Amino acid sequence: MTFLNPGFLAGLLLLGPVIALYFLKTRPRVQPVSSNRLWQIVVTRLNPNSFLQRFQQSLFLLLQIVAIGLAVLAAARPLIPWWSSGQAGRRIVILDVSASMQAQDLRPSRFAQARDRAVELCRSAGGEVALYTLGSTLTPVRRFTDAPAAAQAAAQLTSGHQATPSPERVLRLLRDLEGLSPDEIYLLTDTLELPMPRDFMPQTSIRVEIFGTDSANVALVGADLSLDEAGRFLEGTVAVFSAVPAAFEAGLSLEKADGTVTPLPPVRLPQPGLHTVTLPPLPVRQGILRLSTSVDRNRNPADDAWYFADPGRPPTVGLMAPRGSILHRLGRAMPLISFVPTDTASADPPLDALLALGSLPHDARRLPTAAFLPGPRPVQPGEILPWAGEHPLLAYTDWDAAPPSALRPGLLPGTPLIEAVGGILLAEETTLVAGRPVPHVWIGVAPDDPALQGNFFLPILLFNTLEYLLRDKFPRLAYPVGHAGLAALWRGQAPVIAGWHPLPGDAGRVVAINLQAPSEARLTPGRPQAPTSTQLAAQATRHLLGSPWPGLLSAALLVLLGEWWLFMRRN
Amino acid sequence: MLFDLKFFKSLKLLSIIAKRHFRGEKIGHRRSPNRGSSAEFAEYKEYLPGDDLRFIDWNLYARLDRLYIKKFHNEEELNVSILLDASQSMAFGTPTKFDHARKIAAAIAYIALQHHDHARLYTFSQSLDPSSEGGFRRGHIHRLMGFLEKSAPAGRTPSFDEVITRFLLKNRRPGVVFLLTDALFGEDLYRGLQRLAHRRFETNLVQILSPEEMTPDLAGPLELVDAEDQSRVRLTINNQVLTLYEEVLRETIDELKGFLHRQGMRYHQSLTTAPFESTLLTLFEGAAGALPA
Repeated sequence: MTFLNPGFLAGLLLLGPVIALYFLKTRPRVQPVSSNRLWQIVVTRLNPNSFLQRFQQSLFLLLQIVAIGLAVLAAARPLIPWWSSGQAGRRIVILDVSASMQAQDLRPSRFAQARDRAVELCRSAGGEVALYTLGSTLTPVRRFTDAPAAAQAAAQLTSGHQATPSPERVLRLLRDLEGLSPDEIYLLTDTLELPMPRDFMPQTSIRVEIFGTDSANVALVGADLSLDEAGRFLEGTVAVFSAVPAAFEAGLSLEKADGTVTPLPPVRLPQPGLHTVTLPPLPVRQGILRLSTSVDRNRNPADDAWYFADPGRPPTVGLMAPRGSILHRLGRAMPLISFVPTDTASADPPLDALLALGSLPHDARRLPTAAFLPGPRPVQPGEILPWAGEHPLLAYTDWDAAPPSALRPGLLPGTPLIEAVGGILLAEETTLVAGRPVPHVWIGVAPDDPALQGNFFLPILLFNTLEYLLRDKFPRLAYPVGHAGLAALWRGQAPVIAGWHPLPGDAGRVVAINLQAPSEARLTPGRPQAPTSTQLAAQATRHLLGSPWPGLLSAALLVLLGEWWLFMRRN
Repeated sequence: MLFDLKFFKSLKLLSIIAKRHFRGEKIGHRRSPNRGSSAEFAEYKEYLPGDDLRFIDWNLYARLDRLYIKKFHNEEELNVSILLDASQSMAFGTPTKFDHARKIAAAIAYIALQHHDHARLYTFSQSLDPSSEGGFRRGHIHRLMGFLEKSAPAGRTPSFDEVITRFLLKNRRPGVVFLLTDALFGEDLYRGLQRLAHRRFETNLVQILSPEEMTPDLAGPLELVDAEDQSRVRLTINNQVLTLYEEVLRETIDELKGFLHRQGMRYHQSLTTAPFESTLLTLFEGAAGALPA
């Protein structure tokens, strides 16, 4: 039991003078009498040594002690956990399911211990419990329900490969829960440092419990992989993160789909930080890159593998352009994309996107489309490189490497590229087709304008346009967990576990999913956090509603009344 | 001053009342209840255990189915003995029980002497103190008063049985005894009274009590100290205890009354706050034939 006003407990010191005064007052006064003969008979009949007589003699003292004790307790405002917990309350338990929770510095893992704690919190709740997981967002597992159901759900949780959002985003996510009027929120996490302002969600007591002890870890956190033009070799780099203070070498190997393992040149990590390692050409289209090192330098084996898989289906892009248009040359620059001339959106094989010179037919809006329309000014000759030349960007087919905001409206990275070819972004639109977002863009550029021949940026613009149209439709070599393209592919709950996952609607082909979050490779435990003073005060105020102090005060008054009545009755 | 003018005026009045109450009796002479060959029948008296069976009137018994004895007159002087409790307990109260008892003793002695009876006055505390014995005759009333004026209560609770034993040694001839005491003796009192009854003394016990003893005005934790033996009793006094005390007092008085009645003795109670005259009048009414006329 704790007290809101513990200082009032000093009132118990009043008992000293009360007890002393009692014994001083009860010292018998000497009274002469003519004879004690009759009084001795009275004493014999009273039987003063009986328990009842001794009790009656001490009754007033006992009553005063009880009354003072009750009054002091009432003033001290006791907070009795079992009393308060018996009151109906709403508790939210949030369990971090990010990849870093799989670290094994706590046995068997951070996640296992946090999950046990979540089960315990669910079971011990006095009222309703809601269970959420924290990955890239807050995901409800159980809405407010009774404790056993929540505990059962918590016990069945598994860890994920998501990245924990930033602390600021976490605060925004928590504030979204304010509408549920929770009394308590328990956030079970490992690396999160939550800068909670003092008056943050004042009506809710928020506690952050940290699971984790050290940060020694190495991880494969990214890869820039692409197939060569023939589609036979995998080329590119991998990003390796190290939190180990000393320089060391980590092993790297290639595990093929059939399970065979081929060692690769070791990765040298001279200091902590992110390192980019160039891979030798790998004669596979599907496999796992694995990092290996000693256990003391690798706390989280979950981030040591990088999956990749070529889904094997090249995109088909329809071209609505005259025969001699520059658009028809795209096939030579991007052999992994199939370009087919068409005058309709309904072609065979089915199209994944549609490029057009001029306006597009209405039925094309179910496909990602880009329409090139004459721009406001011509480009000067000599400003355009022959785009059939050997420029590295012409081999560009790695959509992951493309700037994600290349053609987004109003965003600076896209607009300069269009302006560089003397064009303008006329319009951009996203429609929903069968619940999936479908992008459309209108660019005020005439690619066949002779003035743009040799323009350095025109091929880049065309590549970026294709990447923009195809990024959410064409499976990539590897997706990070939570990527929008996964949601588009799965049309629902996309996998959050690293590995190969069958392509929806095409079980013969797989999609590679990885963590790709350097922040999750950093295992530095955060700091636990107790409720702010404002939250504690609000909590105490709520507890006071069920605090027994009014009852204690009433009991003290009743005891005093009873003592007065007894005194009057006896005297 | 204990015996003032007012007191003497009261004495004269009491004497007249006593005389009027026992009108026809010869002054200076008293009919003795002793039997003699020329004894003259005086009255019937209800039979009490210990009475002489020879004087039972069997004719009256046949008629009334109750036993009565005949009392005869015998001309002789009546010995009036006054036993005054002078133990320390008699110093209790305001006015003190001793002062009240002295007035009663003086009144009784005065009336007896006015009628030429012989009066003896004894005070007793630890025991019957021979030095306090005073035998007085008519004309000696002032000596008697002076003796009482000088008396003071002192000493521990007397062995009443021993007191009576000494009294009986000095007074072989039965008479009338007025025992003025607070009667806080216990079993010892009853033994002494039985001796008096056995020796045919007509005994009147006047229990002198103060209002503080009848209804103690006490409360709270007290250590009661006995005025005589300094014994101590610790007690927390409240309404319950006071009620119990009054119950014990009442039982003690009832027990004493019952004993005295069985012994053919008379009980009178006199509170120190009541006028001594009322005690005397009560004595007159209850002691017909015993009080000197």
